[in-house]
Amino acid sequence: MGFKEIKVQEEVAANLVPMIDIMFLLLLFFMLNADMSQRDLEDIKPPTANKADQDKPEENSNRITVNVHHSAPDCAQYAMASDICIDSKHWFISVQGNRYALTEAELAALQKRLSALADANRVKPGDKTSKSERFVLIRGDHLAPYGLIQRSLERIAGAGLYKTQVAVEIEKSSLAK
Amino acid sequence: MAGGGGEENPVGINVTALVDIIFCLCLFFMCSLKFRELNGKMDSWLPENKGPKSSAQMNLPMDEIRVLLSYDKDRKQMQRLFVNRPIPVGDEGDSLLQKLIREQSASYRSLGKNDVPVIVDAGPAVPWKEVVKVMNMCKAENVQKIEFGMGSAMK
Repeated sequence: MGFKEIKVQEEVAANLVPMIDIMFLLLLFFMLNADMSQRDLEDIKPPTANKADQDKPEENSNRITVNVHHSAPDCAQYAMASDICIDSKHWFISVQGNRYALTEAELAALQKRLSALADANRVKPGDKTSKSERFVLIRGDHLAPYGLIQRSLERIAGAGLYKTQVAVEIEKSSLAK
Repeated sequence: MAGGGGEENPVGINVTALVDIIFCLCLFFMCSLKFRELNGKMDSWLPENKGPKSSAQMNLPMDEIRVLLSYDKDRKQMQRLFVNRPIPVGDEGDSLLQKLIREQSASYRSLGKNDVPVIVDAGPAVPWKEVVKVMNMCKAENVQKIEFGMGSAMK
């Protein structure tokens, strides 16, 4: 008995569209994720200046950023900038996404953290008492009371860090010149 | 149609993936743009040798230009002193303060003292922007050494 061979004309093609979609979503995820790991910048409004140097973060990739920021959405004083908010519960110091309140215990933890970060560039490696060559960028909110900045500076100095930079927003009028 | 070519044009371009990519890029740049506001910096240095000074050191005559800043909570107003001279608040006061910094640093330079620091001694309630404003004036007058005074921190 003979069987008739049936020829089925079939087009075999791989649909690449979903694969490309997924690839780009993965790419986006990793790009954002990688960015987030370095995102130690809190949402603040820095003070303005027209004589500051242009900041190039790529030149200071090893830099530690210390944020002094306000975090109390219902604070009318800060929102309206009518007065200086000196409520210590409203202000925080953040380093690499870790937030520290203004209590002695938290500030001690901050200094411990800064000291650990400073260890990478100690003049005498392994000696916790020697100074560190690592830069520290102080990002203070423009309305932050100076007392807070001073507390941050005390902890930075206590950790052996002395090379500091102050973050400012360059005035647009000076950029145009 | 975006899906591909019609019967008369069997070879079509699928733009769906392109649209996806564009939206992904949009999302990425929207997320990252928010953090692009930081664009300037001012270098400052903390004392390398921390700790209290001995009484002998404290009694040494100091060459310094001291700017005192305080904030009056009742009147919600800044108060500024250049050495002992009151400086009014506002643009005129800013110009006067900058002029005094310029003159004082020039007089030190004429004596061969090029690294006399400007010490910004601010009270605990002084807004950070006011301290940075004085630092900015110092930068404008080519004062390289800017130091922070040791006022009492906020409790």
